[in-house]
Amino acid sequence: MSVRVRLNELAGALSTGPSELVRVWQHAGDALISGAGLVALTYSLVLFLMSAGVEWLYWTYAASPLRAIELAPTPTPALGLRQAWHRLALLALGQVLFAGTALGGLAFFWWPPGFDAVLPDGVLLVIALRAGWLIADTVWAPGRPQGRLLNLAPQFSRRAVLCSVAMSFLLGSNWLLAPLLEKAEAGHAADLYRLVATTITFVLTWRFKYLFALWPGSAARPPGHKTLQLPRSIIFTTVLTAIYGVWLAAGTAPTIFVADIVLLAMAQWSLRAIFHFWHRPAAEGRGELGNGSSTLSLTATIGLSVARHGAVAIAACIALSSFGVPLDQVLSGHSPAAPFLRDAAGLLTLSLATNVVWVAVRISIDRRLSALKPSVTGQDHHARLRTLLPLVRTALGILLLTTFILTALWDLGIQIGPLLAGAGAFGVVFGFGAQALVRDVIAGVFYLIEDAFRVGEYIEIGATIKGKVERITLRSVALRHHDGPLHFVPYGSLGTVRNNSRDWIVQKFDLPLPIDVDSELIMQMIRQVGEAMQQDPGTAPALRESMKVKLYRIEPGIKIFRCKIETVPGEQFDMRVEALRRIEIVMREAGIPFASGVQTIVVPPGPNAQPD
Amino acid sequence: MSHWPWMVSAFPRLSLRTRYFSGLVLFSYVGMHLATLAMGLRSIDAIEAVRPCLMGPWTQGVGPFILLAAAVLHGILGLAAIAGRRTLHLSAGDWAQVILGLLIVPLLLDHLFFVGSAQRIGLFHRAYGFMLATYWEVTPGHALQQVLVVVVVWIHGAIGLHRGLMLKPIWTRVGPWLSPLLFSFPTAALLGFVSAGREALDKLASDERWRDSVHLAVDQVLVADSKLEAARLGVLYGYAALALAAVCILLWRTSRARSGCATIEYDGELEVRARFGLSLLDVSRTNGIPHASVCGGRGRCGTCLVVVGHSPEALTPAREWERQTLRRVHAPDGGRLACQARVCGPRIALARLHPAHADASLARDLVAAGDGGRTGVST
Repeated sequence: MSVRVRLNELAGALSTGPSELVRVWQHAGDALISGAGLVALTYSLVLFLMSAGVEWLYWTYAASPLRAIELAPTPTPALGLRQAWHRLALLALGQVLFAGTALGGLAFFWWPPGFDAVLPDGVLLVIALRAGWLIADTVWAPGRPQGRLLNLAPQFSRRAVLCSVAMSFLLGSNWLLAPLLEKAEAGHAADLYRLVATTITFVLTWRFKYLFALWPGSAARPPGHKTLQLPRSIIFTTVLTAIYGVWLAAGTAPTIFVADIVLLAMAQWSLRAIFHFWHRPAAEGRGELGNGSSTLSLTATIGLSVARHGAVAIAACIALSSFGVPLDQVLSGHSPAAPFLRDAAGLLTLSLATNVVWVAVRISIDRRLSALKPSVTGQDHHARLRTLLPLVRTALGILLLTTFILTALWDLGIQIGPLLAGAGAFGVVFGFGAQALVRDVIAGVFYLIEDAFRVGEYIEIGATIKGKVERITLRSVALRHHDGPLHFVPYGSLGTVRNNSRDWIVQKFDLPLPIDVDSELIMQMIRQVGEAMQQDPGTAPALRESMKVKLYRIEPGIKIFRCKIETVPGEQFDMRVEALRRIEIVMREAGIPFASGVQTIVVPPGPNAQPD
Repeated sequence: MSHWPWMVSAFPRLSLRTRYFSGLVLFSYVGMHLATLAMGLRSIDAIEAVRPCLMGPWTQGVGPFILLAAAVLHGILGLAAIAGRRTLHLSAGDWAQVILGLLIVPLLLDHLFFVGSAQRIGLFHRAYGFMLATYWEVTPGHALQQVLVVVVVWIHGAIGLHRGLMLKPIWTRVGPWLSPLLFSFPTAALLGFVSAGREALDKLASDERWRDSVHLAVDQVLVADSKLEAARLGVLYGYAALALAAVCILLWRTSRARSGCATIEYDGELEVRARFGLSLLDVSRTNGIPHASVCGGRGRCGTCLVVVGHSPEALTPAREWERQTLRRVHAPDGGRLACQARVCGPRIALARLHPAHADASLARDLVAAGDGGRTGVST
């Protein structure tokens, strides 16, 4: 349909629509004041009495629990959320009873001709309106801030509910009443009705745009600040105007499609924030959306994944129906598009399954990793886990992605057998080029199996490269030199690795003392220092044995004593410093100086000396 | 303080009881009328067969006078009750009662005058067939009104009856079967109306003589009815004026700035400001504070019971019937019914004694406990 035809249609609606509406109204009035109208009205009232009566009967039992739920204290958001679901269930059951009775009555009665088309639509509209009201009331929860399902400043909640109900009425009546007008041969009136209802819907959407401001941080605005901030507001207005323009120019179906895409994008954008809001910690209250500081639990993350895929599925169904593709035929396989859509649905399910498995793996590994606190001293029993778990995570991620791609191709009907065979042939060619890569990976596997190093250990490779292992990937290891630079060493070129962080390490240092000191006394003093260090809780955990000392060399003017401490890896330098400090104190107290380095040369008196 | 309407203010218990019992009279009349109509599900003859015993008592002897007296009393007391309210924050049930009650007279008037005219010219001996034929063939607009008024009257009455009965211990026994009856009864009547109407239309199509006689009679009735037009309009305008006056008084009382404002403290947590003259229950409703009230503020159930901490003189003193209820529900010292105690002092501290989700079963338990206590004292 060209734009010109569409605009002509709208012009026709504006010019002749009102008179057609008046005509239809008069006909409806005439039809009502007749035998048939009397029957229809009476049956409608019976329908109302029965449905309302059944629901009232239900409420004589359910009203008290409902009030109890509404008035119960909600100390935590999780409890508030649960109460909101309970409340929704109670209210929804009442509405289901109402709807069931009304629809049953609708089918039971024989409606006079003419009214048989109107009444079902009317009943459906009432049911839809009540459901819309219930959903809006549950989502915005006016007066029950803890039970709110979407974040919104409290002063807006009541208006938000009214606005949602008005919009569901407008959309519902657009969907139900306009076709009735067309059936009554008042096409222009139907167009006019659609024009008015759609325009009001857009104006309402624009006016209450804060309802759609679900993304993080948007609810933390100060009270009274009603509109979005400038850029968002402009984006919103532009998108809304564009959709309205599409409606004016192209009609309903493309509009639904475009709006569907926009809503899907917004849903994907804000779902994480919504899930964070649902699982916000208690202290945070209802002020702020989750700002990412809190992480979602496993179930919540899986729920988020399911919600995202569900949103895609729903959006796809809406898009299909907007173009008039009958969904029931698609499901039963009678539509030409059915195979394609089945493939798409399969792909979506596969993506969901892969995502759920990946989320489960990632979160459990992450949780295990964060539970492994590195111990301050002594053996780090979890170092190996902390080394291997990230690798397992990456490997599983790659495996899942490959499986997903292959299964998806298979699902789409692409033969993966030849592909794999081709990949084999290609692999030979590729392998020659990627020798180094393969060597690195295989060498890495063996280093890891042999447990040559772990994250956090200090290693030396060859003469030049040394540092603390910071990261281990499938191909290389990253070493942080103590001066700061980070070395990336592929496993293939590691060669001999000297691991300075295993089991124990020995530190030796020399003490030069004047030649005339008593060696036994000195060694006793130093051993006492060593024993004192082993008693001291500050140093004892780092020491494996008491300090050993021996007279190592005697040189002209000095005696050199050698001390040896066996420490936990990594602690040797600190322990040496501590030992020296203590030895110096002990020496000073005993009045023994260290060798001064100044050699006293004693010149013996010669035979030519002049006697005094 | 305003003493309008004097009857409500001066004899609240009496006017409430009178309203309730006149309502019961009207409701039983409507019930019997609808039962007659429900026989239309079988045939018009069945209607005519049960009519003497179901409708007879109301159309002969003192029946019409009782009916008229009940209707006038109930209407005037209802309007007075509307005028006597001090706030627009009513429960959903109260709003339904007010609106439905106001609608009844304008909707019913046509039917009353039409039947009255028919009776005057002596056509009432074949009333049902004739009335049905007229409604379905000649004046379907009136019939639409009729059908609406059945629903309006019945819902108004059912709410009143339910409120009156649900506090009684007997409700636990009659409730389970009376409740479904409350909405299946008018359903049967409406279906009977349609079924009998179809029969009447068939008879009109097949029986030419009957059709002529009906048309002749309708013409006569319509002529007679048109003569009563002025009277009908008079009644309508008179009623409209009364209703308008009641609504105006209500609006005036709710919007008028009172002589003062009181501070009311709930459970030591919450403080609200309230006009003098409002009942404590009104204050809760106005401020959106949950407060149990099963009987809807009629001083019968005791679920709105509060304990007033200090300065009980800041509330209007308890009347005899409030004291009766307080005794019945075993209220502690300093206990008051929030629906009866009106604010007249500057500062009140109160505590609600029953949870806001209290329902009729709690109210019945309170009364039962009270009865048990009384029995204990007497034996």
